Amino acid sequence: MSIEMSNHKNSWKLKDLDYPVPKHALEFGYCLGGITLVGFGLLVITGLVMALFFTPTVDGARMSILHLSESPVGLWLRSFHRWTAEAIMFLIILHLSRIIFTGSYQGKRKVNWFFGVGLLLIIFVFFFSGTVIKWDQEGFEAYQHMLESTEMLPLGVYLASFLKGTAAVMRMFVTHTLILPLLLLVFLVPHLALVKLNGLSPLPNAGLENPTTFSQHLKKVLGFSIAIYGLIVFLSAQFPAVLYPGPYSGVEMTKPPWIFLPLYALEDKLGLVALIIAPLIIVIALIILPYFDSKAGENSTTHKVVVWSFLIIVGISIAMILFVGITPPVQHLNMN
Amino acid sequence: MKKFNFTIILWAVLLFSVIGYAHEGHSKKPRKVTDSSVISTSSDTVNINQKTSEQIETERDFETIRQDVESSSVFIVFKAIGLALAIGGLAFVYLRKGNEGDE
Repeated sequence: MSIEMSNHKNSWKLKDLDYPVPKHALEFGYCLGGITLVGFGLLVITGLVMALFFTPTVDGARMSILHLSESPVGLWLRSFHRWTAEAIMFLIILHLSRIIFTGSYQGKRKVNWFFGVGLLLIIFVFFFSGTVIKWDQEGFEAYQHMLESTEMLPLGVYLASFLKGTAAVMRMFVTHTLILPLLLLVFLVPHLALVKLNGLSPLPNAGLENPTTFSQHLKKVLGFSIAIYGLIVFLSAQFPAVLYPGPYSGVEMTKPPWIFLPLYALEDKLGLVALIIAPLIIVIALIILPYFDSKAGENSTTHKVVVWSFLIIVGISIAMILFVGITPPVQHLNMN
Repeated sequence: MKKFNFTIILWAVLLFSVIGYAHEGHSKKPRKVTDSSVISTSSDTVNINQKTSEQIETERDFETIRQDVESSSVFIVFKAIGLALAIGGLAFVYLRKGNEGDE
């Protein structure tokens, strides 16, 4: 089977994907990036369809989503978009975990690690902006948190004043559907190109392996994707995405999506400043990681320190998610 | 070296400006957010009859939000435990492979 282009000299065949890759490329841990990419494709398709029915205004946003949800297909589409977005957050954290466990940020893969950190940030902003644009109580509270924490940054007052007002939903919608996808492409293309250029990162202490082919790896990615997103098809039908009433200003009654709950727990203790400091510390830690643990292919003490620090941070974060998840919401803001 | 010092000063400015922030500490009555309420910050311009019907709607909405938040707790617990198990599983597989090479 082949796909021939018109210019015979530059003809491209599916067989060209049969270049050799290490056998561990078929493992689930090494397919996580690919499965996430498939999820993005599904988000683009469902997002485009939903955008046709969305009114990006303060008065119209929630009503247009309600209108879309009146149809069973519309409700399922919205639920699938939400569940897939959550799955991507889940998968991207697993992808990050596998890279940390195998030390795949070391040596020549350092530059690609930085592109990966950029992608991680973009994905979090994607998820956040998607929460805001539905403009229900949850979305409005998320927006208020963004405004008040932006005001704490140097020159943040000016940025916050730009984000305020009746165009708020439109600006977040443009961010979600235009700016972030373009930014994602800017980081994703070199990320994938560098994976091809550097080759798949080696398995720790694997020794010599019988190689497999990249097309076999793609088949595995597709297989895992069908299993995961197939489950999401079912979950979306059984458990539709919530759309809260409102929004009401002056109250804080909801909790953010589960992935932001560690920040919410820190905000309980430290106030809004935690929303600036905690992500800043995490990003700085991720940026300096390849410099701190730089020796490629070694199962050194430094790498063990990195892995155990990561596991402790993940453990604390999950404990925070569980604690905040089962306790009532707390008012943090001076909401106008 | 100069570049390094400049970076430290930048981070210091950022951190101190954040620490220097103080809450205003005023609270307001809940108000539905619409195009007009985003422009006008006055909440005293509604008449008594409107307030009564608004209050009923508000109470009903608040009750729905409370119920939705409460029912979301189950999913949060499942997702958190799922993530812990998945990361634990990856750690078990790949750290074990790393350690096998040491033996």
